[in-house]
Amino acid sequence: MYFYIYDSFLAEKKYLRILSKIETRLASLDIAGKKYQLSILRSVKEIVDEILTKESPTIIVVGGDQTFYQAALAAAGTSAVLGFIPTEQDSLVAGILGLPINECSCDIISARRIEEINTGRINNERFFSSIIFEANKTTIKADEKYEIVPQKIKLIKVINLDMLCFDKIFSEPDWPRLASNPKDNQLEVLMGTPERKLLFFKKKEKRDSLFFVKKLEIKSKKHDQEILIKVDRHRTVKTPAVVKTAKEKINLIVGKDRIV
Amino acid sequence: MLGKDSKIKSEDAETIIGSGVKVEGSFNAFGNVIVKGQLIGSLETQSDLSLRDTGVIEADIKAKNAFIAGEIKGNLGIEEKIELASTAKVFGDINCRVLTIEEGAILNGRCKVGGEFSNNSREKKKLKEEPADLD
Repeated sequence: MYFYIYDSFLAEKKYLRILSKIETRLASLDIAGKKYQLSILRSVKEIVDEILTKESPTIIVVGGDQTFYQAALAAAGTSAVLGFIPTEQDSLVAGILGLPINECSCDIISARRIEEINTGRINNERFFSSIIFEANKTTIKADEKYEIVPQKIKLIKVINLDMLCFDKIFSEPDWPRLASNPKDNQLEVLMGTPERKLLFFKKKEKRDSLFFVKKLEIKSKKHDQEILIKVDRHRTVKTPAVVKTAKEKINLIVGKDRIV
Repeated sequence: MLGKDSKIKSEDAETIIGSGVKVEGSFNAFGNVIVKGQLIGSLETQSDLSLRDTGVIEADIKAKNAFIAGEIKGNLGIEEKIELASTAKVFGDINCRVLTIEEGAILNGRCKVGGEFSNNSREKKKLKEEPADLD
């Protein structure tokens, strides 16, 4: 059975035509199902928890990346299958999972190409995409074996499912891959300096180092200082933090043109 | 299977220790390792090591193949081939099957090249003690 979670912004009038096209396509593919509209009163987790009480559900998020991340974390570790119909041109998840936007994604949902994807864990919380923090104020220990001492880098990004860059991807000889591998039970640790704008010119982002770890301990250099870690681009967690791959996996519907 | 081209199995993964970081401790990897920065401790990989000209390693190293263009203070136990570029500086013992040295490279240590690779270069053969005949 298919269950559709519509993002809160889709309640606006300007999305009526897009939604009507999506619903027509779903009906013609014979995969229409129950519709849930997100609002201030109903969170993604509440809706997913309700859907999970049904037998072998397929949950499809229609809308933006953030709602998809939340649904993915709520559905992790269950037998539910999760799909995504992106409605935003700049959707990062759409690019990684090879999903076209709006009604074109319906055919991919119908094809049901399913992959089991890892999730990450930071302290007691799960994360789906990546975490980012400043390099110069932290000490980092990897796999309880070695310490990484940042010297000339600004940012550290620990990735479960994301692009191997800070802003824009560009090809370099030592960096053949575009995105992380979310199936290898490891997290990618990308270190470097993001793109900077200096008065009249831009300084391109610089990727410096890449590590593959199972566990990462992040602490502040000063005992009385807490460093903020940005999780999945919208939440924050304070140091000290332990980051590792979580046991719970997600069954995701992916497209043929995915880059992971 | 996820995307064929971009997917890297854990054993193929390419670790890059860039010039902006220093690694201290026992560094173990499955895949290829590129070192452009500093590493102190020990380094072990089941694949290849590439030490670039900006890289400095103060560690004993175990790898399958090694291309060295930077500086090493430590012993190298390499299963197959070591290539020393003209900018290479090695202060330590070398144990490998094949060794190529470019003009200009500095090598200060003992070399054991060819034959069967011994994973532990420090391993010493036990001397057979025969009972002395007392006539």
